[in-house]
Amino acid sequence: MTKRNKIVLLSSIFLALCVIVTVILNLKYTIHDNNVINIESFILIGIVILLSIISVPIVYFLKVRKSKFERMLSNEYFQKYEIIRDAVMNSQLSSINKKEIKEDMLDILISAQKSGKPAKDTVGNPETFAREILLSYARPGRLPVLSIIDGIMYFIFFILGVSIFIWFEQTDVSFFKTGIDISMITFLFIISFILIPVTKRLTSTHNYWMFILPVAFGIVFVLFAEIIRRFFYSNEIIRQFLDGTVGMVPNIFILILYIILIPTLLFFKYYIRRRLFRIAD
Amino acid sequence: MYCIGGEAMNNDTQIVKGILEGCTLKIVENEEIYGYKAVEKLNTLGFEVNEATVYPILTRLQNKEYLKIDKRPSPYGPMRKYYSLTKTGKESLREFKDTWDRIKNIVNKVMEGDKNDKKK
Repeated sequence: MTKRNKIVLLSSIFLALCVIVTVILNLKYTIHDNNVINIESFILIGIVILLSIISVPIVYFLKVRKSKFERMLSNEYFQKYEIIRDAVMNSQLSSINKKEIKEDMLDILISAQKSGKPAKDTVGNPETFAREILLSYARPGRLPVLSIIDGIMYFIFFILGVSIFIWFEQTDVSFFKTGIDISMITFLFIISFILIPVTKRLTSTHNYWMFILPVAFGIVFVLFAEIIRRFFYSNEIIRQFLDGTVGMVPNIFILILYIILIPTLLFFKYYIRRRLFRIAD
Repeated sequence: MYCIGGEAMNNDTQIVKGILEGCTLKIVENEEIYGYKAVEKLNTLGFEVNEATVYPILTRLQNKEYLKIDKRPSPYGPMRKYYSLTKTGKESLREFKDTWDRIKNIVNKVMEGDKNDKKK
């Protein structure tokens, strides 16, 4: 197993453990405070723990396990291929293009390996190679448009997911009266528009430690929230930030708007991608 | 970086990029070819290029619809792309040849003039 794969797998195990410990502690404090726990909360906690456990084999099968042809590459070739593959898979290319490039890479690298050529002579710098491939599809300056569209979609998914999750904890209250903490909205905003694009960009380099960036950010954000709660809670803005809530789905029309926005953005993304990717020099 | 005639040239120089694209079109015109084979052919002709240089060129030519592809499994197993020239690709190759002949003549004249000046 390469260093990259070990880090990916370990960070997924660590993240799953963090989630499990958090929900168990939450369960413990809820029982301690209320002396009782409703069945919905219990089911919800069970689902979260189950999903956390399942997430580890999912990460293994999707991100770590080598395919039949990838196993044909020597360690030297595979390490270079892995960098190119990650860069392509985390790019804004369509899934068809990504699959095609992956197949091409495997064919080219296996052929070169069989002819006895060293990997460094074939690939050179894998990061430059990956960049050249992406440049042959589109000018990089135009790609942030697609990242912003992705960010909006992630944000909507997170908002809807968290709203449903909170509502499950108190189903006696209307779904449209469910509020999300301002700190949580900030957290989701940073994840959608900064953390995901930055992680995608950094994981396509030699620095595999970037795979733990999401976990590290989560820990830093929680610590930050606890520190400002401890020392600055008397400040009104901090109090609002930590405990103030906003109804992100206040009525059925906003919910419909969110739902309509997803396919609209997908179509928009498809249209922009077609236009952008046709004009590479 | 790759070399032509022993002189290292920066691979983002537009002129070199254009020359390599033209030569790749010519190679594909002669026979249906796959990525690794194209690298070998270019190297046999005297270019010193690797897969990292040639693959993006092939992709660019394919995206410009100068090349069409046929996919078949390679002897080693993975799917392999075989490239051949399209009608637009043939036109582009003809344009490249015309431009190249013109530039070659101009450069030769300039160089010969330089030699004559030195003799005087």
